Amino acid sequence: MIFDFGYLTLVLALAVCAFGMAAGYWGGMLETRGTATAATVSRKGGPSGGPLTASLSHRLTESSFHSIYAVSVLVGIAAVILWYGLLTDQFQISYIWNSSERSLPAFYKFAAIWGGQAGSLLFWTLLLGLFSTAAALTFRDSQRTLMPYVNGTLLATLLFFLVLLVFSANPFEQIGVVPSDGRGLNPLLQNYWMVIHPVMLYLGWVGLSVPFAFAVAALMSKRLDRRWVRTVRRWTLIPWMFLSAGIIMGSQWAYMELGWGGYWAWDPVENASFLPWLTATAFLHSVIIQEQRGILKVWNVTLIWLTFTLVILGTFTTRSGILSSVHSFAQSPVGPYFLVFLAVTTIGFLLLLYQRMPYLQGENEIDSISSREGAFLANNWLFAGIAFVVLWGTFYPMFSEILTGERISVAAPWFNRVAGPLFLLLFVLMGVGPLLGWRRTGAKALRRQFTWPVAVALASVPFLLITSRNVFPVVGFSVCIFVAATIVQEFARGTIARMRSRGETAAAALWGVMRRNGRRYGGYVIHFGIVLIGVAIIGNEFYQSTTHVTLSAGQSVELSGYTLTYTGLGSEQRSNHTEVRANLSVSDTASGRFLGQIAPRRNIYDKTPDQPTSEVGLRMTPAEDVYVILNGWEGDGRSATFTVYVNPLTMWMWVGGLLVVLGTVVSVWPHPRPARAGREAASAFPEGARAGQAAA
Amino acid sequence: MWITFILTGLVGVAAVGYVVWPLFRRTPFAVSHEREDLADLLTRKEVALEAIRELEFDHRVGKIEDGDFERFNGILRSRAMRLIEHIEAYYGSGEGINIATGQLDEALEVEISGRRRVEEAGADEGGIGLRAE
Repeated sequence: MIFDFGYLTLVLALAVCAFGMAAGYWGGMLETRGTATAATVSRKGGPSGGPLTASLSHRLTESSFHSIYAVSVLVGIAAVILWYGLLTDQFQISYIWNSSERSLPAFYKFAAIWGGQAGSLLFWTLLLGLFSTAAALTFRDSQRTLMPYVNGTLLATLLFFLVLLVFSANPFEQIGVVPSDGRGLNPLLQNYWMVIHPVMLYLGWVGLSVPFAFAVAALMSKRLDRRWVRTVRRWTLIPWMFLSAGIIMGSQWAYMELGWGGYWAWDPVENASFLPWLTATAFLHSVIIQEQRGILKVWNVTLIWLTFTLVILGTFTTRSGILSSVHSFAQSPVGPYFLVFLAVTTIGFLLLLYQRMPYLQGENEIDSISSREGAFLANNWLFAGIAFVVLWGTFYPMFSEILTGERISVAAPWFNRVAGPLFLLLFVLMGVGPLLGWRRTGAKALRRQFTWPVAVALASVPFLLITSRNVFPVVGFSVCIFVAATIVQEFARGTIARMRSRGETAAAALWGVMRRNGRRYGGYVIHFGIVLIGVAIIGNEFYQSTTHVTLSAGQSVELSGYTLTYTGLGSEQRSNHTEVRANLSVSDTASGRFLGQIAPRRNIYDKTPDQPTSEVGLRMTPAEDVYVILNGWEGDGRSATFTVYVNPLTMWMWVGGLLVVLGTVVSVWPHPRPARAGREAASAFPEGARAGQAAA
Repeated sequence: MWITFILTGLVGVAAVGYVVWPLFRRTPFAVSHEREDLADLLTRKEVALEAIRELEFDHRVGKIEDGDFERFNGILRSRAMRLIEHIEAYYGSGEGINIATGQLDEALEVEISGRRRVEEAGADEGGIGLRAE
């Protein structure tokens, strides 16, 4: 009974959503028309506005706000009902039967809502509803001309997902009988990183719908000035932070769970999360140029549309099973719906963009290429280039299969070879950009800014050559050192300038520059995090060592200065699986000093004994990880087969990820604003601007 | 089954009622295009003042040479003054600002010094100075 009610709430949400979307767009169009008429009449000196039209438009807009709140509540009810079903083992529901089992720990039962297709679509819809509600509450009064269209666009996206849930991927579909137990959650998903990683990705993906909705609203209302970009900057940074955290956590999951020695394989679904990250990052840089100089207006709306499209495309590839990968565990007929939605949004957006081209003229030109905007522009080209390369490599196997009938796969080495040099250039720009001022940086200033970072990078080269004769890691590391040096110099110069001008202590001055220029210095912290991630990638890519070995109890293997001795096998029964654990002691080969124990595992799940999962054994240090995979064993563990890796510098990837999150928090943290002059503060008018500034 | 339909009916009536309720309310509120235009102008002014502050900061840390600083500072200040003048002329108290008497320069200096005061307070007092202001 309760599950029928759950499904009917989704049907109800769909109807409310369709009405709210129409109300939002209609209200917005009436408002835009009314404003244009009022402006014309006002110029001609006649009475302004049409009260009836204005009143209707206002009432329709209000109704669209109410629709967003109502849809969020209705979808929330449906999600709670599904969670109730998962936690109480209601296996008559097909989704629960497929994604859960009695012996599954409650932790994973809760997470099973995003472990399969229908549940994850419901969870996505719930998050989109919550984001839409948050945006509606935040900008309800301050962005009156944009909000009807923002509401309309967010409700249109919600409508699409509700159509999927009601017509194609019903999470409340019933089997007709009540099975005694479920089939269990995919073993690969029974890992703590898989509990949090999809939530982060969804928060990132779903959150990026809000800036897209604002871009559409700016185009439809013809208000394409700097206000909308200031408004959405924080609303892009926060989802971007979640997306970054989600990607890093996904890498951590792959590193710990998939057991192939690495963290990123350019898998199509990994690429699906990385593509919108690339375009969103480009957007975050280029909106600053629009804000500062009033240029790149077409590029910015295009970038945010691309980001939204890539989010939908990513969900499509994950959910349709069109690109086979380890993630494509859920294949279903939702593909055509996604294709139609992608086609409609693409055609609709491009037509709208074409119509609004006259309103998108730049207000200035770039004064000089040796300026921050010049560096940001080049960085945008590189981001776009990398996104194109990744997109091409991801979809090439599909196109080759469609065109020739033969599937030609594109593997990690191709991506590394093609995207690697572009990333290196991007890193160089990451160092160059902050050293340049807006508009123009003259030769003398360039010399002053670049001397120390370049000197430090060059000085590091002889030391790097000792570690490797391969030119690529040496160049890579020296670029990373150059970028790190520019960041340190930026912090030092800002702090010293403040100490001199205000006579503050170093700590107070550093706190002052970070607090007053949170956006700039938060950005530097993010850049430093990215540098650390780059260092980890280079370390892993060029200095990794590995061996594959079968050891009898008491036997040892040596690798990169470590001796690993196999001491035996043990097993333990858990709630829904058996853990088989190999014990190895690790010691330093040169000194013989004992360093610790490592225990790689195999989990054999009761429901899927033929799909054992690997839990790697790991000894992590800042210098390198000793990483062991248990491949198999003979008898009761008299001998076992292992793959051993020594992965240099990997820990810095996770530290870098943390810094990216921390830097984003510094960037979005509100900083002190000057009080308004008395007349402005007293005026009823400046509300919109105030909120625009606060949101920026 | 009947309970399901009754429950759905009740939730449906509540949801639809909540959504259509604003359509039957009589509210005189309308979006003022003046309010929106002023908000746009204030945003532009805010951006211009922020750009002046960024330029001063870049100059102080040696990224902008003196000559370039003078030139760009002049451009940004005249843009900010034009915006202040525009805002005062169309949305001010009616007293107006006379460009010839240097009141515009004064108004700009007030705006910029307001931002500098916040910066000074930010170092050790956080937003306390701002709130007191």
